[in-house]
Amino acid sequence: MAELLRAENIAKSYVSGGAFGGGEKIAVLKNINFSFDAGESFGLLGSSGCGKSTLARLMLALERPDSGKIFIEGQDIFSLKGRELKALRRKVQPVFQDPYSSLNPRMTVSDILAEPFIVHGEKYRQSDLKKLLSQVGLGENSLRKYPSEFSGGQRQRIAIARALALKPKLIIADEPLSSLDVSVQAQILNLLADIKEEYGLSLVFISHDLALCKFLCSKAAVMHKGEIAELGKTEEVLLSPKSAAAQTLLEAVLPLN
Amino acid sequence: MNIKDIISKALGSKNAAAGLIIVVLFGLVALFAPILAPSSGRDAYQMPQGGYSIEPQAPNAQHYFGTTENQYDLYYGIVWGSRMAFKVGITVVFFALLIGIIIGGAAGFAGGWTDEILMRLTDIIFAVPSMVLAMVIAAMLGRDLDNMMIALTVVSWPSYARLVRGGVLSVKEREFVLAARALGASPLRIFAKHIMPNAIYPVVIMASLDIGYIVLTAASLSFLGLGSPVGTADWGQLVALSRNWILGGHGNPFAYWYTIAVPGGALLLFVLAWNLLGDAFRDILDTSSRKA
Amino acid sequence: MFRYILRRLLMLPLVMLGVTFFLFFLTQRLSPEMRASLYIQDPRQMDSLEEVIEKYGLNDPMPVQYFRWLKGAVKGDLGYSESANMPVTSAIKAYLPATIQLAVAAIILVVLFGVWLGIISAKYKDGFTDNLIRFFVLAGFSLPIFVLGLILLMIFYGKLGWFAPGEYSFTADMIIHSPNFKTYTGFLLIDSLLNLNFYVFFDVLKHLVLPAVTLCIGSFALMVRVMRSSMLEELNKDYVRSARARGLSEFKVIYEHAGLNAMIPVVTLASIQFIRLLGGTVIVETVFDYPGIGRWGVECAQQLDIAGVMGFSLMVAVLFVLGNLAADILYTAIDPRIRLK
Repeated sequence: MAELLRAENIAKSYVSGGAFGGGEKIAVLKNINFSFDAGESFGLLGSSGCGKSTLARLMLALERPDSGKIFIEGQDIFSLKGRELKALRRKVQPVFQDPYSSLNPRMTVSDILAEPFIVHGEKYRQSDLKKLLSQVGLGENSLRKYPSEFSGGQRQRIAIARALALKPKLIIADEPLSSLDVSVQAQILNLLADIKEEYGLSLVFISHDLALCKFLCSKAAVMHKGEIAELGKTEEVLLSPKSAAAQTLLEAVLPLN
Repeated sequence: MNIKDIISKALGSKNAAAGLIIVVLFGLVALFAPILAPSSGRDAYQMPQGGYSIEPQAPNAQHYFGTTENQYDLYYGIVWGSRMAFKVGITVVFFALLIGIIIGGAAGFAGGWTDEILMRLTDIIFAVPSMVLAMVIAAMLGRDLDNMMIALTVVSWPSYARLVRGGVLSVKEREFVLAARALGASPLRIFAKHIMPNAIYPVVIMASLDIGYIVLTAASLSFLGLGSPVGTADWGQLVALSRNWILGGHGNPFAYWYTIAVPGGALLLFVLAWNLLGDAFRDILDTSSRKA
Repeated sequence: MFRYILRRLLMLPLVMLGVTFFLFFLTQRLSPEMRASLYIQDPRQMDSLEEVIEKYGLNDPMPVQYFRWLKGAVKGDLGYSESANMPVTSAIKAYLPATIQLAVAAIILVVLFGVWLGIISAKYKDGFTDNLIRFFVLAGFSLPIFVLGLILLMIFYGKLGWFAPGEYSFTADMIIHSPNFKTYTGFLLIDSLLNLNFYVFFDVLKHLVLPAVTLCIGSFALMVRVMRSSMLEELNKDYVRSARARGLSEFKVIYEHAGLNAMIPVVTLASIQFIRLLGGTVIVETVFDYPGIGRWGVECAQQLDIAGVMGFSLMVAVLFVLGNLAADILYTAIDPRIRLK
């Protein structure tokens, strides 16, 4: 299969402290290398603060790295501008962690789902929006409502529907379950697995839970303090973790199962 | 919390409800001013002068609230003064808010040097007490109603600009803005559709509640003779007309009490009502912003 | 912290440039004849206005004129104030002490009564007394100070004859301007004590009462609110409970233990409000015919005394910005929680 995404030597640091210099440089990402194929899903694991979310923003081309490159379908995404960048955006869509923050509270569901079409100058009908909703398991009467009228799980479904609108090839899901109730987590997990199947798309699934990752992803990387500590097939990482970071993560989860 | 919740919660308090009632009453007086006190002249805001005697007249059948020196009818002045108060308050808040939203929005959204320059601009206005700056601007522009409103707008917009900027900065980091960026939405669309609607509502509420304060500052300028032109139905000016009479006469120190009590009372009631409203809203907006 | 202060201090000249440039821009609406006073030091020069206009290029482009004015201002030459009949710098020297005296008196009243009312309000939280205090404090905040000033004059001067307007009485005036009375500081309350002249001291103090009360009435709202919530916070702390459990009298618990700790935010608030009072002096000094910087500023504005207006605004701005900075520093210095950030 063709390679979908390749990250090469990504490094990124932030300056903490005053705007007038003198602040400390904190390295968030160091020497990140990985790749995966189209249709394949990739798990990005690690405890909080290890740089997962920053990496997600880089893959979405929302931020730029200090050095290194990310290729999506062979295109260097940080070299893209204008129309090309916009074309890339169609291919890569995010699902964020907090569904209470990821939906604009002053837009109706209909406005939220129509936005991808409007931004990309595509015609759409009400029926397109209704179809998106039904794909994530919501009724068409939701269209006129505001996000505040939905539960956390329902909101996450709306966010997924928005991500699907442009039929992307890659969805970057940054801890999409962690702010949901446990009972709802399984539903959303199944939904993600279903749409992955149906659309034949790739998923970058960011999580701190190895078990969840195994359910969705064939390949996984464990991150620790901004570096990739372990990279390989999910099962191998899960069954015989070599790095200390992966072991710690496993220990944190297993007793619960 | 959405706007409906904020409003219904704020008006739940007794103080705020009292404030609202008084504001509505003043609003009705302002609205029906032409019926309550028909004017004969071309400019209704210009108070008719009933003679040239310098001594004020006590309230009587002809002049319900009495007259000021130079025989301006206090009743007429209060009724049309209500209209004037709303006119000044609403105009100034509208334009100050407009400027504040544009400048604060641009500063917060663009960041970097734009932000730095625009915020230093607000520093300049903030460097002088607003009453003093308004006084100086009004004096330089000349005694005129429009000039007074310009002066008040110039001193009012920076605080709104800062509030809007703060709102924009906090909304900018929310995930729905990132989602819109990831969709490829243009900066203009992100600003207009996603950031502004979520950043400005609290500021709009706060600004509208500033009407009382703005009317008070306007009255102060008029009192100093730097606001509305002579003879305008303006509470501050009516108070100024009482200055020569507060020591009374005819052996009675309180002989001309109405010259100060009537316009002063109207002004106090108006400002108090807005402050009662403002207090309640500020309490709620403070707590809700803390939770967020 | 130091970087912050340094940054603000470096900002100060920039802000002052901005303020003066803006005001100077406004003055350009007036005729060159009126603006000539910016450059003269002595009214006798008024006879040769044409020469002044020529000499200082009052018809030049605005930025050119601005820099010429700035050069003079940096050297301490702010022109001649027609409304005060003296050079602007002399006018500031003459009027500023009276205003500071007034503002200090007012802030003392605000702190004393604000703290007291705040404590009572907290003690009877949500009770009748609390609501009553909160209402009157808000009413005070809404009371236009010129209306209050006039009503106080009506009662305490017109009816009762206790307090007269002005800075001192006619008799005191004679004493102050007699050769025996030495001026040390310009602050009459201090100078009269140094001269051991208690008649003047009490005369000046008496004249301060009405303007100070009028000036401070609007400041109670914030002070009481802050003291009340700070007090409520303290009363919920463990040490207050244990003090009560140890059987300390309620008076001691409230005023000595909780009250003192609750005053931390009040100190910083007071410093901020002291600066804010500057704006109010403009009205109060006019109402009470009190010869301070505020009344002079109003006269400058009314008479379009350009040199006066520029000098007055510049001085108020410097005081205001430095005062706010001082309040900021005090704020961080006094509250350990903030220093940690």
